[in-house]
Amino acid sequence: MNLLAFAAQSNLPLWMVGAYLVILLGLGMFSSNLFRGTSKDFFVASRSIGPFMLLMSVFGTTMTGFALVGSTGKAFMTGVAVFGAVAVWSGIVHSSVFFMIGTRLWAIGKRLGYVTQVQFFRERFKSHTLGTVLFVLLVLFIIPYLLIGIISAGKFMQGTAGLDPRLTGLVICSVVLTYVFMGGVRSAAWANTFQTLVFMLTGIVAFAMIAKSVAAKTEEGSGTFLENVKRSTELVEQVKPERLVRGVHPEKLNRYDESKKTYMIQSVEGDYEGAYETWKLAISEHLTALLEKHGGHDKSVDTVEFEALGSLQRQEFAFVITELISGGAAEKIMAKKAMPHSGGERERVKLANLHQEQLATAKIAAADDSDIEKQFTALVLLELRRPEAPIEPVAPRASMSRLLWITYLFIPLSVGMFPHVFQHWLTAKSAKTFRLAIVAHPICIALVWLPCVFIGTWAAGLHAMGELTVPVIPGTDRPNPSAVLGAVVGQLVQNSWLMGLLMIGVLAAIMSSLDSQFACLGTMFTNDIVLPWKGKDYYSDRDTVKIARCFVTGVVVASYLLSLGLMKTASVFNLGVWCFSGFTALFPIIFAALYWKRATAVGAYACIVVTGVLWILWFRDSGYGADKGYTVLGMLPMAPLTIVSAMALIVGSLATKAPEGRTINKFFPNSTR
Amino acid sequence: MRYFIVTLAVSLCWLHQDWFIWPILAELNYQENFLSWIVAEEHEVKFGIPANVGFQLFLSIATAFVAFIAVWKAWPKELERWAEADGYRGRGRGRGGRYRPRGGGSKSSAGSKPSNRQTSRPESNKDSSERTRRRRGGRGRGGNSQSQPRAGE
Repeated sequence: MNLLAFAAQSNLPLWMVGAYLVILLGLGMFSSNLFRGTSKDFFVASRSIGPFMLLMSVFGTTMTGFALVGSTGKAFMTGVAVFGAVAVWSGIVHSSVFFMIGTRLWAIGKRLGYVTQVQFFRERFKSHTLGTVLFVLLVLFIIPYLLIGIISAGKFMQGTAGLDPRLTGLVICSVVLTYVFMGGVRSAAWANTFQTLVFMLTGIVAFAMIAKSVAAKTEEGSGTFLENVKRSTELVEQVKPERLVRGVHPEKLNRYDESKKTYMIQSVEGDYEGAYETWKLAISEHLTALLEKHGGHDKSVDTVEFEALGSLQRQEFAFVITELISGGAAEKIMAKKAMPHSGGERERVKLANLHQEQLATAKIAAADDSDIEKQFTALVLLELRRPEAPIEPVAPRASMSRLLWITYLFIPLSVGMFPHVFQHWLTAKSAKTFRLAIVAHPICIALVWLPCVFIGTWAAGLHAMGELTVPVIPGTDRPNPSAVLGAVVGQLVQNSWLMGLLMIGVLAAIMSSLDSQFACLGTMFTNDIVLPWKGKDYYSDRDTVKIARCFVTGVVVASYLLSLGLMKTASVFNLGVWCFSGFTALFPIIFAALYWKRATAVGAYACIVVTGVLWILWFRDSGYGADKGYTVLGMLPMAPLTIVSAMALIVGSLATKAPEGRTINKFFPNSTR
Repeated sequence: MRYFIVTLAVSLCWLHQDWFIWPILAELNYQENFLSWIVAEEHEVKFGIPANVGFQLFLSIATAFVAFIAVWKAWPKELERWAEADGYRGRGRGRGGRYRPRGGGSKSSAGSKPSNRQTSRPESNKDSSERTRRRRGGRGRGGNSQSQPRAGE
């Protein structure tokens, strides 16, 4: 039963999603009661968020819908290597970034009263223009990221419940807008905490239920939880072993060795070149005989003459011509001379069909001993097939190359430049608040990713066995990775409760990032554009909150309208993935601003220019993101992009005058000197 | 301690490149020594988990452990005090940001040696009570090397 049909049968999942959204709104209302009415509270929750909420809100913000749906799809395509490449790297890098960047930015933000990254960059580099350039870049990079969230939610609900994606977008934007409007970042933090708990729970519950269903397909059947996991993985080991390793599975190596041996024997003993020469001679003689019979005085067959032939003669003639066309240049010329119209696309298809028919007839006749003459003619005809050269088997490749595996390190670096994560860092009550987030983040990532990676890997095994049908990417015959999780739940578990929970989990993961992004963009427009333009004391604190709320509303409305326009284009997804590279490539700026006293505005400009130029160049080279496996020198593009941008920053900074001592004193605590 | 933590973090990154580990483990397996029970090949499924995933999962836990040691032993205590200090005061004199944790009495500064060059300020409010200033170099206004309370304190 497919997912759509299953979901349509029961309305329970939709009721569950509705109930979840109502609870979320209720939580938003509750948290807005805690809102103190000040701009500081709206932008950074009066820097009063405790350790657990900081962990949940930052974790929820960094984990998008990709953590549930994307990780499953990626594991389906690549195997378990995804866990190490993305989740474990993220654990190591995120914790390090929180420790080194997060705590320090919090301290600077607290000390100097910043609420946005741009405020920090403007003062650190003593350049208002640099801040404005970074503002534009950050907004440009974050908008596709935000649109992906709205569109993904719409598409997911369309695939699972048949809902109009425009309606889904409208509902989630309205819910998020309501609580962010009322309570600002404080409400976003409360909602994120709740949503993060929900999607973590979803992953674990789905894992247990799917393990049971997959194990039921094995000979032993389902058992305890651990037995189910073991049996499901062993099933994959039997049918799709390459999905269980990052490198090359020994089973695949054995198969390669065998086919290589066969190839070597064929190459040595087959005498392909001799067979080819014999074939050339035989087929040209056969063609001459046919043309003698049907070619008339010009020794060629035109369209009219060809159509005038009997059915069997046409098949035989088409067979010979098609075989000749598959040969070398001389044979192609021969075919063209014998049948001048054979070069057209339409004629070729027609000839190919007749060739297939003749081949099938000849194979049957060759196996039939009752009519010796017919059998002999068929065998002669079969001998006219062009001999095939032995094909050298391709050496098996690792699921993920070593270089690619290393360069996955650069993906999680982007978290250091995300403006919405920056804003959550500033909500911390004290630097100590970060401790839990730093320690628990790697565990939380593993908890969410491991079940999803296993589900994706099991799905690959079931798909290979023909036990699972995954919807294909439109216009291709390749399975759609984004549809894997839905297909597994829909076809294997067939439980309305789990389906509802899964829908809630995916929406929770998407919305927990959306709310922070909306709040962050509203904050940035207010604090980086309006307040510096009008002067800090021009608006009262209450007016500042009103302006921020207007901007949040404006950003939500604009994002929703943009998502409607881009709903049917894939390019926004491609662009979104590349925007990640942009954030990573700008990471050297924040790192240098915090740890390198010599970093200057010119260095930052150099970093931005190099990032911009290479980003555009490589983005275009990848077919505007269409080539998903695009690499630069075997690496993810963000790796060389970040390395080169860092070098530009260093060169640009060293080539210019060092910042004033006053600036250094302002941003670097003594202990780090 | 911070260097030790950095070493641990770098080791985690190095261990994450696990391809060099599997041949070593295979060699141990061949020798059949006391470590054989943990030995597995990359593709081998142990307890329902492929060995390479098990190893990466172990690294996740190890990362949390290293992070725990980092926040326990290498926590930048002075950063919080620096953040709590008034960032705008003194900047006009080119001395903004020169705050150090107070030497005695505070748990957070237990790791640093109390200095007789630091003097406490009257505890007029919470912020100022946690703040001390250090005069750099030379002799103080009082004619000795100790820093003096600021005017009006």
